Amino acid sequence: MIWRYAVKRVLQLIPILFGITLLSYALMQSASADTVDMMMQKRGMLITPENQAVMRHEMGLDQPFILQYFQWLGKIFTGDMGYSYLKNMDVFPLFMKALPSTLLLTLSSMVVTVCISVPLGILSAVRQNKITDYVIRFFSFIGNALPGFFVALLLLLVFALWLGWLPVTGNHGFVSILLPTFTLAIAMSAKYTRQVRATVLEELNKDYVMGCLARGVKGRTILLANVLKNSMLTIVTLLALSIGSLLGGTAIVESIFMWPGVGSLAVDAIGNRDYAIIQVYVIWMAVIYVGINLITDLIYHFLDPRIRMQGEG
Amino acid sequence: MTPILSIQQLDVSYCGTRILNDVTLALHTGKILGVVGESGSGKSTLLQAVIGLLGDHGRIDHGKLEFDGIDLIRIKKKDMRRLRGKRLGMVFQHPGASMNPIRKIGVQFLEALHAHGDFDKKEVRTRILNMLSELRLTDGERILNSYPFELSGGMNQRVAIALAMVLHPELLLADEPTSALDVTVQAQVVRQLMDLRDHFGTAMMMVTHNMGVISYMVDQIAVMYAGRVVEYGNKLDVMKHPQHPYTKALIAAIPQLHGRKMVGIPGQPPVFGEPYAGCPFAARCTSARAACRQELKLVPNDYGNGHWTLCPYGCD
Repeated sequence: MIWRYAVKRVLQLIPILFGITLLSYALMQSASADTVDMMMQKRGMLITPENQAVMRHEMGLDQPFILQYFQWLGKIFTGDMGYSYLKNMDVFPLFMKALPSTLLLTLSSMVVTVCISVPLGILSAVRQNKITDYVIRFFSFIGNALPGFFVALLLLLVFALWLGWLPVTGNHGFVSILLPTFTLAIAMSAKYTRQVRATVLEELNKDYVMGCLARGVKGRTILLANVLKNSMLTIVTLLALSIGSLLGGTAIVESIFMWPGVGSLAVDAIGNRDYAIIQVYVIWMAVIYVGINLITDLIYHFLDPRIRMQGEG
Repeated sequence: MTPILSIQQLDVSYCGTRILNDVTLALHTGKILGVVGESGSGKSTLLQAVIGLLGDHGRIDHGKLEFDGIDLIRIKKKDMRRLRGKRLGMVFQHPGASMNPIRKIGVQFLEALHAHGDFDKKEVRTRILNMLSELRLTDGERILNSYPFELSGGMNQRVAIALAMVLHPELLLADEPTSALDVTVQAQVVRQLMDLRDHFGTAMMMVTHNMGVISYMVDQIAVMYAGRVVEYGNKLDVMKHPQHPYTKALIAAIPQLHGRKMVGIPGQPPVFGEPYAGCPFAARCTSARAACRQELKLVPNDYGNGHWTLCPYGCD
């Protein structure tokens, strides 16, 4: 049943992940400068070509590409993800240190987004073309139009500088997460309110709603037990995509608030061509997206019996 | 005897466009009223007006609409909801469409019942299973554990009828309940609707464009054209002695195995909202006179036995 389907899907992921790592490794290789060049640049000194050759040999950079790839892949599986010359430490612990911050920010901004957009979207749909609907649509339009970095600066200005309620940057416990959370949640809520509204409106026009009305089912039951349940099918897909991009770290927001997540780690690494970190980041992104896709499909199985039965048949 | 449903001079409009004009009908307990007419003659609007589901854009402009002495136009929304499902049932054209596709049928039965009060759990189960077996659905337990998409069209429509009938409403409105079904299944469903009527004394208002279904199951016929009832009477009177040219043309358009050729009706019915002078059918009527296209007064002409028509000339 569902478990057999899940296992099948997980097995399908193996070639996908394999392909992604190969591709990303190949792209890194095609970059003009390698690690030795970058180290040289960073330390600001010249190394004789002979010494460069020695270093390249020590690092295995003179071996054929495919051999390097498999060596790298083998090490990944043992937890050795390389050494960051930028931070002078192993990548894996570096990454593991950044991950909880990103997870926390993802979770908090998702929760706030759902709490704002689902009720507002439903309200907006139920009161279609009435004053409530117009007000909600007006604000969601503004929220959509404002770029994230601008919202971040606005929030900083008001809550950190003028009111002095919240710290400007860094991680000082619970209060620090509020500004980055709301920066992310405002833009996402604006987007999702519209999506929820559109989905609920579409569901409200379906025949089964008329059927429920004709049976005298109460409006609230129709909305919560029928329309909302059916709307979830669409909303879950959209939410999953957002979770994916959030887990990848939100480079801009993390940078502005100096939030020590994987997003800012990746931005630093890309700026300095710290290949080891970039590689791990790419793998992480790939794993997130295929993982989220898998989870979404499994949720679909629970939500929609039509898909469930199809899978069994 | 007072009718269970009485409609008098009802005018209904959608977004300001008049859809129903001066509709007068009566339906008695245990009787089946067939409402026939082409698509766009206002049949479905009439049913929606009766069950109070015209939507935000529909409006009753004028007339009387009474169900068992209750004024359905001035009734409070809350009280109307209590009537729907309990005393007024409705069946739709597309089998299964009136059910939520992703919820089990049993859950939807429970939902419909609980909308009208608390019932004993055991009693509810027997009640649902009994109603399903009224419709010859013997493996009720399996059906209640199924989703609508797991059943065939005919079965879904019978389940939908059971769902509408589970609280034994006194009036069942049916919007082309057989049009989407196979012919063999159609006959079955028609037969079962009649059995339900005999068993529970349910009055039924049946909208259809299928004259075969009409001639088989109904007691009275109302022929609708362009939002008006153009002819009304007992089935035999209307079928054997149609007095309105439109009714006559409809009957001539019934396909038959032997005998006369089937004759279509050329032209299109008038578009809603576009004004016309005189009789709305005049443009397509083969026996129309000059007066029909001018200031013909649309008043019922009585032919006795409750049979009347809007055409002053008659066909006999």
